[in-house]
Amino acid sequence: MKNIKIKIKNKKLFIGIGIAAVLLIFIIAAAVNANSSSAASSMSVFVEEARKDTIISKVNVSGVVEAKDSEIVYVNTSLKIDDILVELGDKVKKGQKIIEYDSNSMAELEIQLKEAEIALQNAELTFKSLSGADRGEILNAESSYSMAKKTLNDAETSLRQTESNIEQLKQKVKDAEQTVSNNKILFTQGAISKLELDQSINNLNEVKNQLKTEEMRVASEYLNIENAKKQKALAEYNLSTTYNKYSDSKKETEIRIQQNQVETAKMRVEALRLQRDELLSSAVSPMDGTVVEIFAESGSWISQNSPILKISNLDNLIVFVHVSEYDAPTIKPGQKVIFSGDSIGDGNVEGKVIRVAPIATNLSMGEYQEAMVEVEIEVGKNISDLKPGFTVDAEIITAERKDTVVIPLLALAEDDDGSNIVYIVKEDNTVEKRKVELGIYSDLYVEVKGVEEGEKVITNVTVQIEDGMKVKPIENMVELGE
Amino acid sequence: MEDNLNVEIAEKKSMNIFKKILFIFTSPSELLKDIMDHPKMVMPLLFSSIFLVIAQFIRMPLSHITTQRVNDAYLQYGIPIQQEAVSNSVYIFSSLISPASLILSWLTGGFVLWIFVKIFKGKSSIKQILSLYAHSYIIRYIGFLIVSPINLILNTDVVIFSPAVFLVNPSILSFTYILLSSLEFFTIWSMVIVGFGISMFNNFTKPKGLIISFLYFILTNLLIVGISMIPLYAINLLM
Repeated sequence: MKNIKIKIKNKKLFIGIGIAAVLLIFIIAAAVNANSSSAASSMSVFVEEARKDTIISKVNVSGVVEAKDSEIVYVNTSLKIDDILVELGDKVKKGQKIIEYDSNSMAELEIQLKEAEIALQNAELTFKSLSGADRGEILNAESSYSMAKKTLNDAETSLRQTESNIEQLKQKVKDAEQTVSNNKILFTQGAISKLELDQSINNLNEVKNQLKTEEMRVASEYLNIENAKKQKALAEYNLSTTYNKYSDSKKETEIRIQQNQVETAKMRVEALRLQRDELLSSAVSPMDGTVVEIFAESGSWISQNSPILKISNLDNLIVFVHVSEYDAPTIKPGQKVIFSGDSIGDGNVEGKVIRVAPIATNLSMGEYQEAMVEVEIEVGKNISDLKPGFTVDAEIITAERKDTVVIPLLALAEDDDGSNIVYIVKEDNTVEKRKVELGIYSDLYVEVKGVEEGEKVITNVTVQIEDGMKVKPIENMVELGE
Repeated sequence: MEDNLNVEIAEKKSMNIFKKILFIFTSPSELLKDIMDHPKMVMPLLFSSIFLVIAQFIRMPLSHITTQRVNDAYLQYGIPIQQEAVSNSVYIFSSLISPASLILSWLTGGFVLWIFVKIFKGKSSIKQILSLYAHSYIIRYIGFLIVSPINLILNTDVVIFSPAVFLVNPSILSFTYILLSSLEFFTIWSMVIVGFGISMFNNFTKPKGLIISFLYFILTNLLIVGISMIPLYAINLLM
């Protein structure tokens, strides 16, 4: 019994020693690991190397494709359409007949036009009869008076001209007499020949004759003026007697009213002619293009100003997009645009910005309004199956820089003074706070000055990171379960 | 004669708690007999709670290490969480109420263990199983109390008496670490005692008792490890 007890005691001792030994091993292993992982007490941070790369700044928007050139064919009167000669998707040429209107409707329009023309004629006739004297008579009297006035003016002008001529000729006579007198003296002295003397005397006589002629003309000019004055007085008298036929003021009012009716009838005729011409022109295509919408059916009645069909040029497509006021300053005409979307698939469709609206408009964005600027983008060639109405995503390339140092956006932080900073992890795993200058941004990266290629920047910046502290950089993310 | 013996046994008093604490390490079979005859629960749970709270207080300076390791672990999975270590007052408060979770885990664990016993056609009462389970906690939390000063001295929160201690710089949220941490020495020891207790109470062989206890242990541990991985997998899905 005692032996058994001793055996049991020894067994328990051995078990106890064994357990203690196992526990000691665990403790030693823990001590060893604790020493080696003392660095684990420092904060772990994600880092990424700054690298040289091409960075592209983009604005991502989406919009609906539209045809650049479209025309809607309207009808300007209520009528029936006999037949629409084209179908959806048909290509048409400018001037090609596309609609057949009901012939009765056209005939009715012609009748209305004829009626208006007759009404105009009637109005004109009534106007003439109300005026009494032929309007032509009045015009004649006015014309005669004007002519008489003109004749008088001409006669007076002619007289003045003649009197002026007389004055000139008198001076010429004087000069010629002086010349003769001088020549006589010279002849007596033998300085000139008789011939020359005779010539000067002949000249004098000629000028005197001209003077006499002009003086005689003056008398006839005066007579002409007298006659013209009489003519003018007569014409004036005729005119006033002709006007006296309109001396009745009530009749004058009736004539004015009738004159207005004539004008009204003229306008109605013009309007109907215009309507007819427009109707005829709406039956043909206004442009080269494709029929994209048909609003009416053959045999149906349509009301005035209703659209019948829409023709678009599908070779030139545009996309209208709206950009926020924050992105708008970076958008300029000529910038390249890359389109993507379900309708494009894997294809490559490019375009360019052609217009940026000068003003912003407030658009509803869910529960709030935002100022947005409209941008028009022209779709380039190679548009394959792109159709108006499709929604596409557009990347507007606002800036591009090649071979420049870039860092992740997550690495950026702001210092107390508002300047941009990054935290660099040096070779000895200490942190250096550094001010940087920023360039253009992409979705995830930013161009930076102040960081060298290959330097590691911390990408999970928190308030706990300080300049000079020790960290444990992690470059790669562990997959779950590893 | 036999009746007299049975009467003697019936009249034998239940051990006091201090004797139980001693016997659980030195003479487990005697303790198990006592549990079988006098299935008590309150004192074992009370003392386990005391050990737990004391150990938590000892480990208070290590809370920042645990926080940092959790941050690092999330960081490695791409989630930049930088939470601060809990304040002392919060830590003290949570330590003081930790016995509530102890009791809850004892209740649910004990009940599930009894179900396991029933599945294997055991005849022990639920009171016996709950008492057995409560006594097993004494081993666990004494072990926790022993290891806490060692953690403090070594300045590490790794589960020292588990295979996880052999991992180098383990991630606190990795499946491997969590699984190996659950195989803690004193926990396994307590499950051995539970296995012996089951075999004694139900007249099973010792291997059968151990199978039941370790089957329970493995399944519940896998469940706990799986549940602890759910947040990470959920985040991975969202990312």
